[in-house]
Amino acid sequence: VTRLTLATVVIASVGLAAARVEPQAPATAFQTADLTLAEASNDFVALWLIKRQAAAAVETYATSAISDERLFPASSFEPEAYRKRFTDESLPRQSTPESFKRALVTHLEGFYEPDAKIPQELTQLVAPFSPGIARVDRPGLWSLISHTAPRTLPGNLALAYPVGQWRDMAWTGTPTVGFHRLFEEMVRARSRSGQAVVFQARRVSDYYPGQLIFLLWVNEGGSPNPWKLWGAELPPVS
Amino acid sequence: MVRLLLVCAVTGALAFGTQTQSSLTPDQELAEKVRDLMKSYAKHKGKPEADWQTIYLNLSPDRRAVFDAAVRHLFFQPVSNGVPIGKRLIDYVEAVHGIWGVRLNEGDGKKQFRLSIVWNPLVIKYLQVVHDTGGNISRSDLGHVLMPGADETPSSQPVKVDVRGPGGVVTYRESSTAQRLQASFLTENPSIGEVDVDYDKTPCLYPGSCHCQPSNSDVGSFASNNTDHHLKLHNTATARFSPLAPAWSDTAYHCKGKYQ
Repeated sequence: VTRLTLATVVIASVGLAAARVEPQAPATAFQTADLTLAEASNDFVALWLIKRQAAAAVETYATSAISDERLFPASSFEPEAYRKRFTDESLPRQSTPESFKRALVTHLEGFYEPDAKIPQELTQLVAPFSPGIARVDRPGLWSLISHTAPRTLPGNLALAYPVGQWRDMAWTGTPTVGFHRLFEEMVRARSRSGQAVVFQARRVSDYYPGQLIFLLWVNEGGSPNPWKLWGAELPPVS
Repeated sequence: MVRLLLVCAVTGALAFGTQTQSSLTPDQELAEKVRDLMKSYAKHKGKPEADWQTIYLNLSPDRRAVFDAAVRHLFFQPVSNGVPIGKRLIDYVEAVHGIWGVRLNEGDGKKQFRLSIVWNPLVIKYLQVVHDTGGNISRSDLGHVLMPGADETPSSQPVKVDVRGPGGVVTYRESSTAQRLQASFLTENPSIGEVDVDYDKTPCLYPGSCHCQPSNSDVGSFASNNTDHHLKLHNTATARFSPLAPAWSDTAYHCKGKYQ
């Protein structure tokens, strides 16, 4: 039993090591922030898409700063009713951070498929992704984000870039109207900075390229993890 | 009987041709667009424009469904700075040159559910304005343009398709969670393009992913447990028109391997 347990621990450790982000010394504040961002992003995706614990992912990482319904995921509303939010300013908008988190959980769980074959490790779900890979393999995406000077996050599983305005994330096709109309004003008013983290899932279809996974983080301060999740999308691939 | 009704509807649309756009009901305006675009399709295929009704009625049920659904959806209203723009995407469609809608084990064409379009080149400026002002259409990647070609090939024969990929294509997507229109253009010639409507939001994450199939663009497709019913989504999104009725005789479940 002991040997079995030991073997299990070793195997688990090997699996985790692939996704773990090792710090580089000496680290600047910027590198430390990126390290924290990478760890948060890796853990969030693993909780959401591998362990299928969307509620835990949201509880651990989602912001408590959003109570405006225009920043709630569009999928938590009926599609036809939601279309009106692009034009009707009179629709109710004030809610609570708790409601936002519930809506985000519903949104994240909406991507689950009951019969899907779920990978066991993050590195089985996503392939290494970086500006160099995006430039070659995803020229369309690269043409839309290169102005933000994307960089590779520690661990080489995702690229990241600053998000200050709608234009920086429009490529995701997110229908959440608050990202179109409010985001820029909100982060500027709070002197915060947004960061996009983009993973590329391994290709599973003959027809379509690897699914991109988009996370929107905002540095809200605090320790040990100042990054809070404001949004998550799986942009269309077809 | 169905054909007779369709002919009546189409003939009725002709009678409204002299009215101004504002005086037409949505169904009447739709019928006019169907007529004009089918005429453009007939002309492109070297057939008399006057035969457009016959050509329309002789489309296979699958191709007619794709044509009808795409045209109806092109009426959706883009928004700029929170205000609807006067024009709609349908106002920038000058002609239809390809109607791709072949389903179920019918050669290469089974992968295609789209319209090959001739755009008014001003459509790019129009869409860019919507994008830049936080509207309900945004510039995106993974665009594709299915060039006009062998869309009329009988379903029993292989179809050679010419799809231009993302490197030379500009694409815009509607900001919606369900039934999302995608308009694409060749970078080198913006008048040549494509319209594609996607219905499922579920992505291509896992091996064997149910929705990661061409059925995503098939208005007639639904899951075997009767969920993800694309036609219902379509009719909800285009409720200003009379509901689109299924013209096809077979079912097209996704998640059952028929689109593998």
